[in-house]
Order: sequence, then C-alpha cells, then structure tokens
Amino acid sequence: MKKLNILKTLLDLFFFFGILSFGAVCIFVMIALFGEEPMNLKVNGKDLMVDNWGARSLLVFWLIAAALFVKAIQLLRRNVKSFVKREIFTDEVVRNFSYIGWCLLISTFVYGVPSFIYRAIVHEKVGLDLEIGSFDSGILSVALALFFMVLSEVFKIAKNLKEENDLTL
Amino acid sequence: MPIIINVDVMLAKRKMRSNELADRIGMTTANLSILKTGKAKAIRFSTLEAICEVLDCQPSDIIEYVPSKPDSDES
Repeated sequence: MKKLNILKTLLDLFFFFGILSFGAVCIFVMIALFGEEPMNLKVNGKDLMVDNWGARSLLVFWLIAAALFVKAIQLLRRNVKSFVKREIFTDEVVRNFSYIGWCLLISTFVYGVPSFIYRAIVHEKVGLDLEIGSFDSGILSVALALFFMVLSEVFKIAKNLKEENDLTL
Repeated sequence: MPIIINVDVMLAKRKMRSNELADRIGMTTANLSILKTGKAKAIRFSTLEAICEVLDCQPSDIIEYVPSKPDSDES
C-alpha cells in the first residue's frame, strides 16, 4: 500500500496547488474581464489578448474548464482516501469515478470547442490542433475521461460480485 | 425469489434453536439469519450438507421451489 500512500500524497499536493492557482486565476480573470485596459494572457502556452468580448467569453469558458478539472482531482482524491480506508467497492467510489469521467469530458469540450470557435472567428483560422503524443492533448483527455467511466462500470460489476460473494453461505 | 428456505420449519420440527444449529454447522448466527430470511444469494454444497446432517433431513426439506405468479413479475 506504499504506492497508494504516494498517490494520495501527490493528489493532496496537486489538489492544494490546484485550488491555490485556481483562486489566483479567478482574480486575474476578474481583472481581465472587468478591467478597462486590455490584458495579454498566456494560458496553456497560448497567447490571448483580452480586449474584446469574444476573448472575455473564452476566458470564462477556460475558467469553467479549470474548475471542472480541479473538481475531478478532488473526486479522485476522495476515492483514493476511501481506498486507503479499505472501502473499495462502495456506491460512493463507483459514483465518484463516473463523475470524474464526466468532469474531464466536459472540461475538455468546454476548453476545446470555444477555443476552436474563437480561433475560427477572430483569427479566421479553422483547423484542429490534435497534439497526438502530447500529455495535454485533447484526445488523451477524452480517452482518460472515458477510461474513468469504464472504471466506474467495472467497479459497479465488482461491487455486485462482492455482494454476491458475501451473501454466499 | 421463487426459492424458499425452510430452515425455520425444520428447526421447529427438530425442536432445535438457531444458535445451536449455527454452532453445530460452524456458521455465525448472523449468516444463519441471512439464510433464514431469504437474503442469501447462494448456498455452498458444504453448508447444505452440514445443515442436512445436523437436522437429519434432505436438501428438499430445506430448499423449495415455488414458481412466482405472472402478476407479481409484472408489478
């Protein structure tokens, strides 16, 4: 169970810094949204000049995506905590895995679709940046989201099997 | 479920208490209660054998199949 404790510690750190950076990002977004001077931001390696309503809306979508990602981390952390307590095949764990999948999936689309539309309208560039092989690619995020959903189904089956086994006398 | 457990009936016939049966077959009273109330999903042959041995009966005296009514399936 050493690996589980390492994972728990890493997720605790990730969640803690995630919350901190999310709070800081919220403040910057508020300044960018309601400030009068245009602001040049760099989000995930992409430059964004916040000087019109399109860029402001995009920023809000990115903020929602970030919030969903932090929520997914929080749910994963909760599941790992349950695993440490040896509560493995429970309804909460199954539900959390499903929610993690949905959070990641929605987060990916909330981040990707408005970015695509914004690029198409403002920069008049239509194209997909798939970034295959990159760790922050959209495809990997969707695959990860689907993996968590499948994991939820697997845990549901395992829970039923465990219940059946417990009720075999 | 259309499978009925008649351990209670056999216990009454043999004038034996649940605790005694549980002790003699090496089962906890909680598990015997699960069996008696029909909450059990399955029963091992070894458990069935032990119950039959202690109660001096056949498996058919303990387990009974009662077909469920079509009306109750729909509801």
